[in-house]
Amino acid sequence: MSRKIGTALVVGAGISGIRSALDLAENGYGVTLIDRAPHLGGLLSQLDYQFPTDRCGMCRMLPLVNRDASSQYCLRKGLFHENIDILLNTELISVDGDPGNFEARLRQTPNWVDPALCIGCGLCVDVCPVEVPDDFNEGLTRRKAIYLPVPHNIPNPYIIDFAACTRCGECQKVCPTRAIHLFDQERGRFRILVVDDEKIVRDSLKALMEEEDFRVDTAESGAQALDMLAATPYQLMLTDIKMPGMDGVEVLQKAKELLPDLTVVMMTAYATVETAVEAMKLGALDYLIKPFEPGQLIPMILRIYQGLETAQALTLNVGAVVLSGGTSFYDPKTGKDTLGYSTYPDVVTSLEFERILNPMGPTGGKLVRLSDGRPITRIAWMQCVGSRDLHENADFCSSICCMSAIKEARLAKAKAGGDLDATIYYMDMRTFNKSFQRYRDQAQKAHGIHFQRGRIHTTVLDRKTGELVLRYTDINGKIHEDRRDLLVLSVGQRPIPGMEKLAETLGIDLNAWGFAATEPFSQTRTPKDGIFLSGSSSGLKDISDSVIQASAAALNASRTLHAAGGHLSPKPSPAAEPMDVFRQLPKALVILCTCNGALAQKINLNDLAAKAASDPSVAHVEVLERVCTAEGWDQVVEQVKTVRPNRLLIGSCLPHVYARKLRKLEHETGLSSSLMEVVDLRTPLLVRGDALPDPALTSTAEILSMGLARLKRIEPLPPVTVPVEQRALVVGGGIAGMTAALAVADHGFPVDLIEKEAQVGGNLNWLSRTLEGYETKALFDETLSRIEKNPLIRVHLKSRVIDAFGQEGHFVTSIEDADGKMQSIAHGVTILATGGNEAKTTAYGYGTSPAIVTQKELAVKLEDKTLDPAQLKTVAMIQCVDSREEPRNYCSRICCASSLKFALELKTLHPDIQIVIFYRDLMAYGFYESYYTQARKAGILFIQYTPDQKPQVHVQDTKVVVRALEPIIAQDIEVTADLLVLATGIQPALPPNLAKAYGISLDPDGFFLEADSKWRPVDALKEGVFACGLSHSPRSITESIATAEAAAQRALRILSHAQLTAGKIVATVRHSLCSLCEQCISACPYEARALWAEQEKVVVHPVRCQGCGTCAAVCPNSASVLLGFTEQQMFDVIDAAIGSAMCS
Amino acid sequence: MKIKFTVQDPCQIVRKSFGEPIAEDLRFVVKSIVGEENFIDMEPNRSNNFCCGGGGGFLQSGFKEQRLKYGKVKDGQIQATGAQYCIAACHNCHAQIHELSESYGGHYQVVHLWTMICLSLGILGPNEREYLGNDLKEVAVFHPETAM
Repeated sequence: MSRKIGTALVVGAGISGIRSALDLAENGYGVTLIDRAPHLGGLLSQLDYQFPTDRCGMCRMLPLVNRDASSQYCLRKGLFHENIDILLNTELISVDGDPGNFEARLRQTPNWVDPALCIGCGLCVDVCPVEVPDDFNEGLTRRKAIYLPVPHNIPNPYIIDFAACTRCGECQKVCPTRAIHLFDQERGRFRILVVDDEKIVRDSLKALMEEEDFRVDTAESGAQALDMLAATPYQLMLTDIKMPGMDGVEVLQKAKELLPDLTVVMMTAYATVETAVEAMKLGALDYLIKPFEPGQLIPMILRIYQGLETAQALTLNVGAVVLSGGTSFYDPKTGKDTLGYSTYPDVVTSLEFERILNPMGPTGGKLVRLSDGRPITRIAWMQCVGSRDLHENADFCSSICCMSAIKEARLAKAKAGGDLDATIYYMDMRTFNKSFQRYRDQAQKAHGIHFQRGRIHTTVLDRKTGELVLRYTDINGKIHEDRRDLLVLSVGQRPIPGMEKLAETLGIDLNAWGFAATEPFSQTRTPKDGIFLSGSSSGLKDISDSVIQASAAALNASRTLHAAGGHLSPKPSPAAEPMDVFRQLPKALVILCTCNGALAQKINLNDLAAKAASDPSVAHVEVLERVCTAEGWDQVVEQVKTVRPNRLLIGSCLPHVYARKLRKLEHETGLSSSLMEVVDLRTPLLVRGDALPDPALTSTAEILSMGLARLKRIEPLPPVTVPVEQRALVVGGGIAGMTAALAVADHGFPVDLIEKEAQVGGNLNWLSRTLEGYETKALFDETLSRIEKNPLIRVHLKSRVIDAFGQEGHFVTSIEDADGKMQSIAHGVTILATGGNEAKTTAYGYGTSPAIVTQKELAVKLEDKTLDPAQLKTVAMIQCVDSREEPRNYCSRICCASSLKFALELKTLHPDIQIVIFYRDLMAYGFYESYYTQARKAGILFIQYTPDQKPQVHVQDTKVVVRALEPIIAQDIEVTADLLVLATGIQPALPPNLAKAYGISLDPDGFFLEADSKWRPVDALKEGVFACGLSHSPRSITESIATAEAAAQRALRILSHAQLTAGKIVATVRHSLCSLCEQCISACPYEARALWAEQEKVVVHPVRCQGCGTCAAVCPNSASVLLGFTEQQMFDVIDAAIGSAMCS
Repeated sequence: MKIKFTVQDPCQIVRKSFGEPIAEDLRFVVKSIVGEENFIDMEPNRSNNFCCGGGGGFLQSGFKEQRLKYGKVKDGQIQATGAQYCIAACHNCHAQIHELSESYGGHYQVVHLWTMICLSLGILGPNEREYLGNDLKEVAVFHPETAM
């Protein structure tokens, strides 16, 4: 089967890579997801808890509709999806070709442990003699050369660290499944011939290269070399030039005749370099000058070896590439480390601290000092280490560290039971997302975390007490000393190693600091069409922003695939006719795997088989070798086809490995995979570790009969499907709504775009430029013309939504136009993009003088020239007007950037203007920081105020006087300004009745409430409703566009299917037993249950039901039933487990 | 010989330019020369070390009294280690610390890094030992005229 069109490559399997891959897979595309690490999850595999919940929640990214296509367990433990191929230990080498038809070359690092055979027993670890620092714990603990890359994967095969391994072979000897093959590797197959008349040269070269595991032979003359080349195909020859008899050049010529593909490197002394160059013209690859050093030789050999290996690299044809390479972090010991990171063990990075909090970490999760193990009672966090630092060429903010430091402080407090003094030293607390300010306030007020503005400049150790003495200067220049047990450095972002090369390979641009650069108004597009950025590769982002960008990248990749002829509807592949086994008596096929003989050593499989066969519901028992291998599996398929069972039970090891295979088996044989079960016979034997036949047999028989018991009573019902109205409705015609509508329509689905005004465009109608200097008019015009040209988009101007009902797949919305005409639209998904407006204010004398304006008014006045900047001598700006304090306690994210934009624009036009900005925390997050630096360099004054000492404003004739405390000189100052600009922030325009019509909730400030702010950031809890733009949260234009693309992508997951398939395990109601107590309705976490009042019935929405079983547990009458886990089934399983006879 | 050595982190090469990596290199060299067990760090050290008090042109600009007063911190750091030798890899630091040793009565020796490297290699000549104490004055003296 060719998947040339309609497949995508996702590079990097961190959170954003997983999100992009899942989104594309849910749309029906084939995805190859690669990562150079040996595990999924990227950075998040090391972090346990995320704010604001201080929990994990990663699994919430898993598909909710058509969920059986994917794994349904903890995403930190692993992932599979029927449309995703995951390749770990794999790097991208090159991408050639055009959008829609790229050729990507990948290099997979060979794995010396066969993951299909490794059962994770860990015997190899006990015998491994090599210990190295463990990267998983940031080097705070040590591990062996054979190790688990992360402790929590399922399955979790061991891997070998090539760099550390000494190839002693001990692990290979003890491995019970013969999974380790140290010496069967391709370096040994890469054969090298050394030709030199001097024995010492031959021997030393041989020794050096053999140390690197190459296979080396030697020849003392050209003639001997040619004989050897004739007998054995070598890949590389190193030959001396000056030799008696046949010289090196002649050897080269003759060798090339024998083996044209042979790579030859000439060895020469200085005197004959010219000859060597001559030889290169004759086909030698390179030359080495004698005497050479290992440091020079080995890299060259490796380069040649890798070059040849690359030629045999894996090649994939993909339509689009999503780059989600993530970021790496600043290492304080590479710079001027006055904070003592590399000197004192109790100075750690934020990542190291996350590991200290973890039970698998260096202290077993206890808060004790790394230096002497004493309990920690005082911790300080130091922000902006390696960020916002011009000395380190880091003129950027790393965006996430403020929030993660607060989170870490709260976690530490919780861990220490409150008995902990936690202080965060900061420059600006950048709480720039909608819920962040409240999280910070709570940390301060409810958790007692101290926030101290200032920078620690020096750490000194008090040798007597083991305490760190931190010296810092406060804002008034006074030096203080603070004694702490632990200092956590919130280290900033750095590009990942190899980013430069990757960018060059892909043809994408990097910004001044080496992160991937984005195109104007896009977080995901690169100069190279068809290659998109996801997650943190373009700068560190928190989880929700990463996930939004990942979905946006998936959308753009999907658009490329679609434009190239790939289509969204899943490929119809010839599946076997579903087998109807309803009301049939169970007829089970039992397969027992010998586990490569290992199981057979411990128990008598024939006895077990005989015991199983005695069950009347068992039609046939077969003992097979190694079911986990391809050949073994073929035999299973054969058996199913021959026996035609209606139940299948496999007894082997590692049941999780089989989930994917069972689905394929269903495809091939028509037997529903819900009627198949794999039980783990192997692991219990290993755990018990005794070879006594009888107890082992009993337990194995119990496990087998438990599996059989569950299978027998499964009701083999066909899965429920719900048809999808393949049409979208977008409410709001601002840039977010227009972007979302286009994104859906570009995939071939019709869209209705509802706009209440007489024209679309929203805030773009008055905005003109962004801080980066991009013209918004160009964006507006281009988007509008695309909307107008697209026949699939119907724009309803001067219209509003009156009411709506329905759920994912089928909504009906009534709209009313300006003439009062009503119409009903049926659609499958709803995207809310109702936008937001600049907030109104009465603070700071607004309304009392024409010299006091809001940011929007300033923009409009500058644009229509009612304000002449040349007349201004002094301009004052006040940030956070009515914001970041109750009742509007959120940061509007864009006002600081806007003030910087206006200030820099005015200053550039008229350098003599004096500009003073009164601010609380300057939210110049990410790469906006460089504009903040630029503004300070341009002489713009920034004066910080606190909410309890706000600036005082009074009007004096045509001028405005702002009086405030200047904290650095600790004196009140007065600024007499010609203009005062108030940053009032953004208020959402999402009417509560609209939210109610679609069954979604709003947050306390009236913004859209996400299903999960981190993991499902544009979804409503009610599936099928999505939000983007300013009604979702305050965002810049570029960021709003990303939310719109993400929302469209999430919508397309549903639209791209003609019908939605419920999971195989869903809940139902036995109405005869139901007392309508409605406990199940409130218990359901997915809003999948409702009371159907007219019929007096509780109904289950099968697609929305996730099969969690909560309803079955709360039901007092056993009326709520989870198919596949009925009570009778569970009783049978329990009976089998406690060992009542197998043939019951 | 049980002689203890400490090392100055000159501002010019550590705090002002190369930071932690070179401070580590400096210690690697010093420990290789004198032996790990004979090395003792002053506190604070590396990027956090204090200026000798003679930097920034101070050494050449007069104001000797004030300069020595600024150097008191450095002298205190060195005396607290109890080392008999302070190795200074900057001639400015060397001159200042040497003077500190005399004027505050610490009487520790202050030597250049190159002196110690040459001494350890056995190529330190008889007229290059001005800053060595009596304990090392006669150790492994190199006489090029007789050695050749």
